Amino acid sequence: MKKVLLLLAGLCVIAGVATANGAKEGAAPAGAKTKLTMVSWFPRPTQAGDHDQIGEFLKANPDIELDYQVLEGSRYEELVRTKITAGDIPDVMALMTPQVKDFGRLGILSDVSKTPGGLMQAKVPSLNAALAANGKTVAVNGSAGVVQHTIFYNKVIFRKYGISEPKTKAEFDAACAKLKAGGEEVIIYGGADTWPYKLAQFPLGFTSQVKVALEKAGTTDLMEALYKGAKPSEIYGDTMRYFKMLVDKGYVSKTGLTMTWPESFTYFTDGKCAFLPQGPWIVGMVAAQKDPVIDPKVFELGVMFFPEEQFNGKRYFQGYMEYSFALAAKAEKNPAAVRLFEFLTSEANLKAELSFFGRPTLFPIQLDIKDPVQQKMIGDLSGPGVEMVIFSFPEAKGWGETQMPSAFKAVHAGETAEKALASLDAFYADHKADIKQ
Amino acid sequence: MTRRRSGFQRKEFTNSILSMIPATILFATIILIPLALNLFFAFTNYDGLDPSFSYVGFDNFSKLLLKDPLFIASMTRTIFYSLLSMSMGILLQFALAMVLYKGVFLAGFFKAVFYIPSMLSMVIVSISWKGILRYGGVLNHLLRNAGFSNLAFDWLGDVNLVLPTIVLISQWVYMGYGAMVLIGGLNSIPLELVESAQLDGASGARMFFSITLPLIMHSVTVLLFMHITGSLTMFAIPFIMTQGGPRNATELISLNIYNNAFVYGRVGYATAEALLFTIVVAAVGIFQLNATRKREVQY
Repeated sequence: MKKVLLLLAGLCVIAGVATANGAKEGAAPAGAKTKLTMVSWFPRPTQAGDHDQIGEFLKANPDIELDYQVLEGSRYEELVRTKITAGDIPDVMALMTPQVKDFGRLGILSDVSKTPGGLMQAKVPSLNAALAANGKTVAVNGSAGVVQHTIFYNKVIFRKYGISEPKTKAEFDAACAKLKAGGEEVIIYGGADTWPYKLAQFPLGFTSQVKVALEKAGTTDLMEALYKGAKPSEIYGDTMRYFKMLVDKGYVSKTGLTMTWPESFTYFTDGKCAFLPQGPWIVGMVAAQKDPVIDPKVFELGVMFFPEEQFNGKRYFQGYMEYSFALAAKAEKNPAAVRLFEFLTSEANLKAELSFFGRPTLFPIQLDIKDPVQQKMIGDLSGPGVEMVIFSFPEAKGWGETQMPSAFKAVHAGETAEKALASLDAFYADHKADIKQ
Repeated sequence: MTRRRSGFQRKEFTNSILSMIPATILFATIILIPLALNLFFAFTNYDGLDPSFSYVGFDNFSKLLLKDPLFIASMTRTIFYSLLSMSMGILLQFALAMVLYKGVFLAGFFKAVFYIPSMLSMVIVSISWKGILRYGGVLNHLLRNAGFSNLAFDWLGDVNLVLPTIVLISQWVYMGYGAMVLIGGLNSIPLELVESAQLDGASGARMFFSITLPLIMHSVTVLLFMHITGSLTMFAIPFIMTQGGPRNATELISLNIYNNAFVYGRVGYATAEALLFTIVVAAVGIFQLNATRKREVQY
């Protein structure tokens, strides 16, 4: 027994020494690389010739070793929150706007207002306000614009049926009817991922939603309107009922309900569906598609915005902040982490990244847009009567990323619009008290 | 007169206490401390991050039982799922066990084939079956090519089909394991008992219900307990395959707890829900153990 106890004691000593050595992370020997961690839901590009901002940073900073963690996009909010709850706070993070508000309020994020990116962002007050917490700018936007409004279509299918881009709602309905009658799949969503249904929530009726928000609560910020007492069923009712009509008429493909969004992209570019409501990154994805190459006989990319009726002479679009970069408060004194953050939010990097992937921005950066589809997208938004709305009011947790798209997904799966709207009303009423400003 | 321990006995006692320390530390760290924290947070409005949470008494519990239709719906759905899974599972496992016990050609091979799924990670099982059962997946593709398009249902997208589909997948995973447990019980039946029963004219159903079943009741007890606890706490398959959809049709209670804790940031509320559910599972498990143990027969 004495031998056993001695052995146990020896193991404890070894474990203690090993732990002490592991704890000395900050005291790396001279010449060793500084280790950083970053989280995002974007995987690094793998095809040669793609713009790899992380790769460029590491090349320019050989003294830094980066643990770049890609977390699943459809569960990104809860995965990052769980990491932070466990004390595993990454040095630099790509965040969605509700996360910026939440983590910023709790002091987890650093004040970045004096960084070059923060100073650039200060020139767009509405953007800056949306990424502020406790009076400080706590994140710098990476991509913002009408990312939840674009509807892509296949010009080859359109030409086959003699359809031109719909300019009114009636023309859109007629185009859908013609395509359905011809046996085509009309509209596809990557339903398995749930978030693509945001491309039903916004493009199909944002102007009508803003109209109700203004009438009920005197604000174009839908989150603020909800907080002030406008019901979800009032704001989203018309949009949900219209979507239900599209589903009932068979225009929304049943195949998409259990398809991931990359699968819906492939389905679309294989020429199997006419419309793909998706974000502007589709342009970059189509351009970058090499293996397999897209067959021009079955697919040619077109883009449009849903021809909603105007309100007060305007069409409203949500200036959705797709992702923002934040520096953890615990890393603000770490020069390497600051270097990474400032690189990602520099004008040069944002210009290169957004130009390559066809992502929009609200910054005063002249993107290098050569793609005709992107140029058309920007052109459609440049005319008079277009108004961008940025939500800066905090939302109930899970509202935008889970609850809203899930309601549209439920309708796609056969739920009635009224029941889906009632569940939204019940959810918001229940979770309103959790909103912290 | 009190007998004093000898030096040897004292030494043995000390050694046994010391030997228990590592296991006790592990048990405390993994079970006791988290349980104590859960008990604490269940009475708060903690959101998982904000240290400025407050004590809310029994508000979480009363809300769950009286004002949360999603909780009631999830609980009802979970009970239904468990009953369906258990009844189907026991029947299938018994049938398989009897066939394999009686001896078929390549019985050993088939035992391994049926057992292998229970060794697979539930994540891999769920992802694989998701690819097979999607509306545009392998199964429907084969059915359409074979001319059975009318059988190409939306297995994961149809609210009426999705829960039975998930039940079937869980049967695929555990059928072999359950059959092995039952075969173990069957192997423990003394042969002379069976022979005497046969001599007395027992056969078929009479043999099964009067001789076989009572004597393997100990295995059935274990199996039923595993069925109940496993099916009530099912998480991986609906989480990965359907995320609780479509239209909450597969949102079992474990997924409801997960959503409350990690999606909606209501950790206090979710721990209250988990505590309530633990009590339900424990009560059902204890009831089942008592009920089936009474029917065990020892020879």
